[in-house]
Amino acid sequence: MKTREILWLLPLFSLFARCTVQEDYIFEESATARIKAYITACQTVITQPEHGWKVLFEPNKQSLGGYHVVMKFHEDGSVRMVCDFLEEESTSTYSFNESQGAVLCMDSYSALHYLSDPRVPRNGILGVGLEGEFEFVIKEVTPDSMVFFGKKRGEPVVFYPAEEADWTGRMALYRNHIEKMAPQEDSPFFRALTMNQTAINLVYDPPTRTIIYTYSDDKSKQILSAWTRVYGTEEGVRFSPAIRVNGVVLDQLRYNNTTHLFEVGTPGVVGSLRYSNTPPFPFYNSLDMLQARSTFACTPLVGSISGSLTSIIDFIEALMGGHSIYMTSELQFGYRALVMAGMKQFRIIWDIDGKGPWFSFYGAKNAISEAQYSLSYKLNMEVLRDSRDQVRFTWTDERQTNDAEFATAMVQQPGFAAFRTFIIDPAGFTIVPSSNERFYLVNLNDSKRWLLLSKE
Amino acid sequence: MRHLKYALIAACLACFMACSDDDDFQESILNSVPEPQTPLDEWIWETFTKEYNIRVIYKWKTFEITPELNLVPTEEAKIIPFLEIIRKVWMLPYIDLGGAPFFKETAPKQIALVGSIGFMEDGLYLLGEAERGRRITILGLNTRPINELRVKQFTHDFHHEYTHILNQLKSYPPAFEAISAGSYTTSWSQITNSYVEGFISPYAMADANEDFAEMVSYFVILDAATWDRRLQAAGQPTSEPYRKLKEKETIMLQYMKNMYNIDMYELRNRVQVEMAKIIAEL
Repeated sequence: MKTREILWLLPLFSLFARCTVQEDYIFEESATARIKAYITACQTVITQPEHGWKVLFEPNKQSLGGYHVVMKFHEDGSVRMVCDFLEEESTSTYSFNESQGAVLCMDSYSALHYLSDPRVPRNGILGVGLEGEFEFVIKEVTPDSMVFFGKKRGEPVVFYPAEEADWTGRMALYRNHIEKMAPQEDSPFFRALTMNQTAINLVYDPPTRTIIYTYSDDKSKQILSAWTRVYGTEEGVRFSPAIRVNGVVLDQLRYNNTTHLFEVGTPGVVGSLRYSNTPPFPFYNSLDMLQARSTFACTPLVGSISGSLTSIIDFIEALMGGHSIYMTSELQFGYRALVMAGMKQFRIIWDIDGKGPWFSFYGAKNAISEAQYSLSYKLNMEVLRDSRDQVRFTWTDERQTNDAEFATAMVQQPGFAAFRTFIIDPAGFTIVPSSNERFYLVNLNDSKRWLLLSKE
Repeated sequence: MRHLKYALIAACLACFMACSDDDDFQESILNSVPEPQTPLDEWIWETFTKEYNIRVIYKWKTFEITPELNLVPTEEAKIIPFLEIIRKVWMLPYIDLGGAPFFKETAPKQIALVGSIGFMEDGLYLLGEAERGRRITILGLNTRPINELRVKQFTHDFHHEYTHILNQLKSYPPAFEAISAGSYTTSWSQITNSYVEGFISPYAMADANEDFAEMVSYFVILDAATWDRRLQAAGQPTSEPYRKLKEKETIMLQYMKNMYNIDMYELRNRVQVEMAKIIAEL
């Protein structure tokens, strides 16, 4: 066949090639039309309930508690919210888009974004936040519920129709009760939960809404710690999983407005939650637990170590105030972010060359450097009682540094001086285990002065 | 040859005929919920969009923000104060010196605002980025109230990112990269004294593009005396680090003058005056 004859056949092949796909469609409409119709239907459903939707967000059941939100979506793209973790009602905007299916996006900053905000400190560290979501892939929609999963982390989220009471008081009650679980500014450190004859030391972490409780186990005679999530309720708070100590099970506390105490509401169990300046029981061998399998313990979180330093943020501010030669002035703001993102500035080193504990500060000369300069002071440590849970430190003049200029500057810092005064307080400390990796140093005279140490 | 021509025409017609009914174009599925026009939207339209064709993105848009970082949108109360600052310390000085046509041609078509800092796994964090000459993204607007340091930070970040856009439109001379060739490092964050390496900041050591952007941004946020002290921190005028910094400065000044007719000394003066005014009013 000649070339020109072959060329004449080309259009015919082309016609066949382009037209052979005239098959019956499974769907009557195109994918674009169908997703648009679906989104329109979702928008209708989401704006329909008179009082909007209520949601219990549980971003991570392995490490976070529950957060309630009520939302009323309007046809103009605005959404009104109240929640049990922020006091003020907020109005923001939402939209739908298509990505992994139809997606509901809360597209301007709202109360809900607080749960995703990396500024919210997690164990004193910035960057992670509370693992919340503000984009939700729609899984199932019915008049009685909208089922989503978070676009970033995939956790399921279910919207249920809200009631008027959710707006007029229920969220406020939840928030009120859960806020009362938070340590009060002027309260002692120890919080003893008594259940019948059993005493438990309970530490509540407000941002994560979790509790770590420590108790003396009847069978093993050991100090054990366990963890639970906390949820606000109309009566008080509930725990999931339930607190289980020496055969007693507790899944909720009721707040008594007359006594201003949380009381045990479980039938057959009598007890309450009270603050105390003294440990509820000896934390046997907690010093050994702290030192075990770790050379370093650093300080991610600071309690009230002096009158003016109430948190790690204040501490960093104080540190920055007089530390300009060790970072470029125009980038000091960044230094704070780095420190809080995980740079460990203070450490207790349990052993250097077999000489016992040292107190070390690590620093950098500019905002984006690792903390490679160090200044360490040798401490003498005295164990105060046989239960090995109370110690006292004294300062020595023996020191080590890798930069003399850095050392000279550091000892003049207000933050450094505050830590030094705290560590060598003659009263000493109770070492309170919070988990295998986290321990509190709580001042024996004033339990409001404490330091949280994390093993490295 | 004539048959070939007919054959090709026939083939093309066949393609058009076959395809004419296939697509049923419909309205976009995106933004199906109407966005409320707020006073903030109107302010942005009047100040940035209508005159200079700059779209300010402050609402969360899927695909437009780095998905792997843990980020949230900007609190609306923070948006106008920030945009006012960059209008004064970046937009107006460049318009005054380069003229409105220059600015319209080189300004990013989009300014994206993100509320949170981009905390990264290696302990560093993202404050801004420039993309393909079209968009500047600034992060961390929610982080803190505006104070003197924040004004300087915003000014630095925006001039830094805008310099990337200028470089993307017109490249800087290869001689600039040659000055510190071999000294750029991915471990820049470990560097404690970049001056003695011939760099104006540790981040400048990341690569030549960042080096150039850091030269411009530090040049405008530092007053003349402070800038000179930074260079002197590199060493004696005869030392190699000082010489490198001066060479970079010279190329940077010439580039801005020759490519965009921007007198960097005058730009610095205007930026300094505006920064001082903003700081005084805090």
